[in-house]
Amino acid sequence: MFSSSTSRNDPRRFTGPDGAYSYHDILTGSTPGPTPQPPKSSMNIRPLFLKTGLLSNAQGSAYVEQGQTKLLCSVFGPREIPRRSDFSLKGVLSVEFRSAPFAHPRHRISSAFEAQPTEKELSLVLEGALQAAVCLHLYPKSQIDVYVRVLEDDGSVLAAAITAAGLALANASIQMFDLVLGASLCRKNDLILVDPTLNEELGASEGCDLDSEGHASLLTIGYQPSLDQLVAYQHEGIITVDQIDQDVELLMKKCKGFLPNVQCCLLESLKIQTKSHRQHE
Amino acid sequence: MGSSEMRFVLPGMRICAQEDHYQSGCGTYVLHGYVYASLAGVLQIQPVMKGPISENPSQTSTQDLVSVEVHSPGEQTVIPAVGDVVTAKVMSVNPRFAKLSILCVRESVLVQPFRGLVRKEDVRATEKDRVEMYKSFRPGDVILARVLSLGEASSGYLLTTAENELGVVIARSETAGVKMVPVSWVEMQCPKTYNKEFRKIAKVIPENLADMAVDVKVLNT
Repeated sequence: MFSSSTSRNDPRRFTGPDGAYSYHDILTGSTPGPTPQPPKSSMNIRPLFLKTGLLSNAQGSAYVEQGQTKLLCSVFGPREIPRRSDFSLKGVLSVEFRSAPFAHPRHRISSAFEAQPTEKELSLVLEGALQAAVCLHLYPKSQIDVYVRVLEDDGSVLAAAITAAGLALANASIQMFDLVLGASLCRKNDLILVDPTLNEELGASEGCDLDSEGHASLLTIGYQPSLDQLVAYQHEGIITVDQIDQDVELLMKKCKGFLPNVQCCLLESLKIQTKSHRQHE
Repeated sequence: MGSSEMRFVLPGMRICAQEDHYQSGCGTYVLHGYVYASLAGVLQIQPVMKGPISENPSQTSTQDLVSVEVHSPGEQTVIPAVGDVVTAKVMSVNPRFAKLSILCVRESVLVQPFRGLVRKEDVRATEKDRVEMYKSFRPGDVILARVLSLGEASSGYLLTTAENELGVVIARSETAGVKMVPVSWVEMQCPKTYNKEFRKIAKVIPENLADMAVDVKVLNT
């Protein structure tokens, strides 16, 4: 309704703390904006921060920071399936993947009510990954809800979401065959960028059309480390068969690389939980 | 096995080979001959209850059968399973069945209630055709029931109270709203008005005797 200039001068509006600037300035690139990240080595996953159990009203929750990508996952249930749906002896997973309106610096602000097509697509991929991981046969006639909320999108959201959902499900003590880890990779001819940032991803998607000189592609996998199984596979772009093999191999290795971090995070929260549980008794 | 230190496991961790005396318990699953954890929690190795096994002296080798279990700290995520005793609240009663809302499964409280149903023929074990639903349950009663089956999609779990230990546990009188006291296995009396109301009463076993009752039941079957 208001243009940015009027809203900034409106005395009735909360202007925010000193040093804050309007997000419109970031969009146009006129003011400082986020400081440019130092160029990262192309074969490493960005620094990872994991935490479980931060939402008290959810059965289980996880917060994942992968570089600047930040997202929150919460798990509710198992609860009764609503009346209208069909009888199923297996449990049902309902996965909702949504971006916060402020998550993406370039996209138009997403509607708070209606899911965008990309969000729906990512929900489906995530649901497929979790269906393979959760012991759904142990939850007949019930439903497990998984909500992923992206707080900041700086590339590799799906990979981070898969890791977060796996952590949140384990935190909710839902029975699973294995943990699930996500990793993604962006390839431009022979240049491989593991865990690409948003800029790198966008660069790749520009090179996706057939006419462009080099072929570029974007690959995300979901991986179960101890069973050595792939549970999700999403690929955009053009790639040769040999390269797919190489890339999947590489991503699985990367997943194994940060598995100890995920395990440490879960162990820490387990220790805290058992301690507080004992104190209650 | 008697180590006081707790051993934590995470989903997908291989615990041990599935051998003759290791049994996969709750929180674990078996794949390619190995027992894996499916929960994040504390590993527990417990001897399997020696009920029917000890009666058969020829099976001495299976006596030290142990079950490998994983227990997550805090509340367990449970859902009602066939054979479980559940605590439920009566929501509505009609001549054919009573609709319930399941609140607890065994000792654990559910986060969200599940729907349940007791049909007229499942109220008691004897004189099934003479059961009158209004003389068995009233809305608001808290009852103990056993899960018969998962039921249909629309109706929720199918429950039964056809055991002496199952039936109404807590009921309030119609006029005074006071918690009533059972006077026989079909009647409860209000301590204020001395009115008697009909119910299918559960014979509640004191908690310290409950374990013994289970043992007796195992031996009898």
